[in-house]
Amino acid sequence: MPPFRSLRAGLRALFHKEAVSRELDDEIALFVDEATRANIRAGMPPADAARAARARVGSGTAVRERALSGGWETAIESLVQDVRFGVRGMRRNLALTTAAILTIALGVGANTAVFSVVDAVVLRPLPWRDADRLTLLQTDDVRRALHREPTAWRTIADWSNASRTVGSIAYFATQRVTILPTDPGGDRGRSRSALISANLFPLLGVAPLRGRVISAADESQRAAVAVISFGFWQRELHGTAAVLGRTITLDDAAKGGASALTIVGVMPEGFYFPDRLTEIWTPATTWWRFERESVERFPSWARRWTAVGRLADGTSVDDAHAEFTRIGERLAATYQSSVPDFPGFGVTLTPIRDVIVGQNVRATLWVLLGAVGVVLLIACANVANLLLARGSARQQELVLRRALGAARIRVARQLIVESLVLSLAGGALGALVAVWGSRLLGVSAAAYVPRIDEMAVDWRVLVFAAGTSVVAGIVFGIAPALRFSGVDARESLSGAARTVGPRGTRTHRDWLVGAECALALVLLTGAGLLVRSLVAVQNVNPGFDPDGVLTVRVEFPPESPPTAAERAEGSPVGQLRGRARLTLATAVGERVRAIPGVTDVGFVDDLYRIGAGNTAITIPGRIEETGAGELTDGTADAGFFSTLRVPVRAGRLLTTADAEQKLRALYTPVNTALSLAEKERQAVAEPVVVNAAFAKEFFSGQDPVGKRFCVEPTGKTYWYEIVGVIGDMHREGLEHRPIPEWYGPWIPSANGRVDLLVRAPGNPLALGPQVRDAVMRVLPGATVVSISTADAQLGDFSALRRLQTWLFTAFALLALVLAAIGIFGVVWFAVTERTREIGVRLALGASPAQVMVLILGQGLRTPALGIAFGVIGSLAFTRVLSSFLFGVTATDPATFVGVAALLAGIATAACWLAGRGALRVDPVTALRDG
Amino acid sequence: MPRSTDLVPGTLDLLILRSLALEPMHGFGVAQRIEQISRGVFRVNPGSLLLAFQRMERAGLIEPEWRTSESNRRAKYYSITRAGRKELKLETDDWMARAAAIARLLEA
Repeated sequence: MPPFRSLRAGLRALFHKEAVSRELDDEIALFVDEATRANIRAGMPPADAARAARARVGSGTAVRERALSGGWETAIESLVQDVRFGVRGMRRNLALTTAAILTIALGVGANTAVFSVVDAVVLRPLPWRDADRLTLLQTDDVRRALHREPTAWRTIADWSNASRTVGSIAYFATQRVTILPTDPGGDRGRSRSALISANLFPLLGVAPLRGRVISAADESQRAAVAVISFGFWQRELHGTAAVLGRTITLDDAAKGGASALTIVGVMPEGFYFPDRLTEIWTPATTWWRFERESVERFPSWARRWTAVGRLADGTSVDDAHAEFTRIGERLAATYQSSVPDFPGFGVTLTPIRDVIVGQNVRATLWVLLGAVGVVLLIACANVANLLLARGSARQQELVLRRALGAARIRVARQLIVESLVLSLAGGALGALVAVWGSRLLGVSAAAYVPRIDEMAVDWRVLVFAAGTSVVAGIVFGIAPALRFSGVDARESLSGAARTVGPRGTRTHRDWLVGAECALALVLLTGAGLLVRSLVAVQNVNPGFDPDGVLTVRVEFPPESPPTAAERAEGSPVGQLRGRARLTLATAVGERVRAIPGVTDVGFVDDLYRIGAGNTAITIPGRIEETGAGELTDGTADAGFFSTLRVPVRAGRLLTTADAEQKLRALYTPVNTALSLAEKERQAVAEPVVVNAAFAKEFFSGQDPVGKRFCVEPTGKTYWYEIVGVIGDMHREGLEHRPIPEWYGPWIPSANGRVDLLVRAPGNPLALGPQVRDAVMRVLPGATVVSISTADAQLGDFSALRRLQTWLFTAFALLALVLAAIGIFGVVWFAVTERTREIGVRLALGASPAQVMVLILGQGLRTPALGIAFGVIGSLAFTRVLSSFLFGVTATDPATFVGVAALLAGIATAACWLAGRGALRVDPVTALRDG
Repeated sequence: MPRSTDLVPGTLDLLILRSLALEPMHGFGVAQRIEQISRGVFRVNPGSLLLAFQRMERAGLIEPEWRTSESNRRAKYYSITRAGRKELKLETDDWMARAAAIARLLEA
């Protein structure tokens, strides 16, 4: 086995150098000996024979070195030599080494930190087998511009039978659940459960940690079993070993009491589906209305499920979409629907990766990685500059080596190795910077970057750091290597070295500084545009006053289901219960208002909204339903509007009497046989206020107050009457345009959630515990889900933007500082070389100002060129950013001019600082020493 | 007698193998043998020879062994291995073919 033999021999030569060379020496001595004897045999006198033999062999050392030079270990040895030499050089020049290592550490560290986030969020595989081919299949409601709607079980079954591009199709639906305490007096647990088809777990391809997953038998027998997540096991069951067979009880009061589930399996740590909040999986068939729903196809109440499937090998999402469009057309031809809100059989396919980590987050991260990569490039340019400067000082040494016969490639290798030693030292320090940086990023982005908690500085990240360091070392080592390995020995040794070298290095260095300026300008422009966008977002008037408002998310207590008698036609139980809850809510409001410091209290179903609207209305006299994706509704009490200081534009706000009117509207029997106009006239309408966008959209040029519209698409029996118009509120965050909305009176529902808003100028969060107390005292069965402030929640909508902007700006400023250092270095170096000339000029009567103008003129030539190229580069680059910009265009002239002026100013300052030193020189000294 | 004492490039390994195919030898033995058989046309540089030994030993073509020489000294003897013989055959055939071709070209 030659390779093995060679390896062994090489290792022996490396680590037992003494023994190996002794052996060789013996062999050479033997050679001389035998040659001598041969000469004697041939008749030479002994003394001549020995001399001739020695002459024939030559220098023993040379022979030995020659014989040893063939193995691979020699290359390593000379590499080790180069490294040793490099380290020695670094130690000799501590200031330069420190500067270079710190620069690289900063560059590599920042890159590695950002990479660790990209890796966790984008690159690492999702916790399912072949996750890139998993895709969600959802109903597409083109008419109302709603694209990710759930689907009826029967339609999913039809898809499953017909599709070839998507293999087995599973389905699921998630819901919030309350878990009853296992021991009396314990807290009620909260979680989410998913009703799933039996083929879901096989589709995801993840084996349980313990027990088994939901089986086909569970599905067909409607077995009350559950598979739980690792996290749930640890949290709710304290990781007990005897978990299989245990029972968890879900509070299902509204559907007839508690339901007990037997745990049959535990999933491994890190597994989740479809999101991290879902911790319990049960057979879909256990859903109490499953039988009733699974025969229906059209009504909205039967469209509950989200389908998920795996694209067959060799098919793309587009292929699958085309196939499902055809299937949909066939289904539409087969099944005619008279249900007015049935959206048809259109399908949206979304790769599950896009569901978990949105495009926006991914784009943000790639942009940041690009920006920090540019910073590293600038850092490399700076270090290359340092090395070029040092190289000039070392020129004599390098020339000597060349003159003594070192090949150009040998000198170049030496220089590159020295650079690599520097960069790897910087990279090692950079890894530490990265550990710290990624922790910082993880903490500051935890809430709004999905999967960032999966971040870890592990071998992948360290390999990235090492790779980046090596690339950086080669990048910044190339310029010096090219420059100095090519020095012509004769020319340099002949005494002209003092003036020859710098000219060459100066062009190299000018180049680098120009590039630095161009890159820095691109980053600064990007940062400028992002900052302007952030300012524009923060200057958006939310349409209400979120300052000093505490938001308390409350879940009302569940109630037992109505008895059969109570469910009978015309029973007043719904109305009575609603009124009772309303009274309780009023009591809560009064108690909270009594807390010192509280000025207003209000209730709203959801202060902030995520996602588009999803409702449609019918306005008499208009042909079609209107609204959907661009229309939404909400409920609020009378206190909501005053608490948030929402302006009234027309009519009046809701009052407590309106809630009573809504109860009447809800429970008044209706006659479905009338014409639409009759229905409108006779209806007991719910009073609502609409926002300005609603008024403009649907009643442009008219007074909307007093107008009626209805929502229920089938019977058109439930009517609203507009009593007032309020200003638009940015309930989807400041970056989204408010859409038309209407607000009806809020009536609490059992187990329903509501935002309790408490205005308390000063520090509203300090009142949190008192407010919680007040709520729990009036409503002992309620749950306070979370406490925050309206301001903080509004800010969360732009949190990712803020993070991106600040990081990008930090990188850009770092680039600016590095570029400034680069300019300073080059000018300082150039001026130092010209001390003598400057001395002459001063001695001949040039004023310092004149000399400074000269220095600035020459020093700023390349930065100016760099800025020009940077502007061109920015024009191309900012297009990448355009999806992140708000209220500013990608070619915003003010930003471009401002940033270029900033960089020009900094460049001038750096030049001036560098030149000032030279002007302090005494002309006489300069002439004598120069 | 030709003045040149340089080996034809690329033939050293072949000549070493050929020498060792007869019997195990030490370094000087190989050098002497090449010199004698070539009637002094080729002289082998000791540095090149030892370098070639190292290389061929690693390639598994020859095998070293310390034994006592005729002059009663400890000496490193090299012997040819099975792989070495195979290589020798290949190289010899190759060389013969080339030499014949060159001879034909020169005579043509």
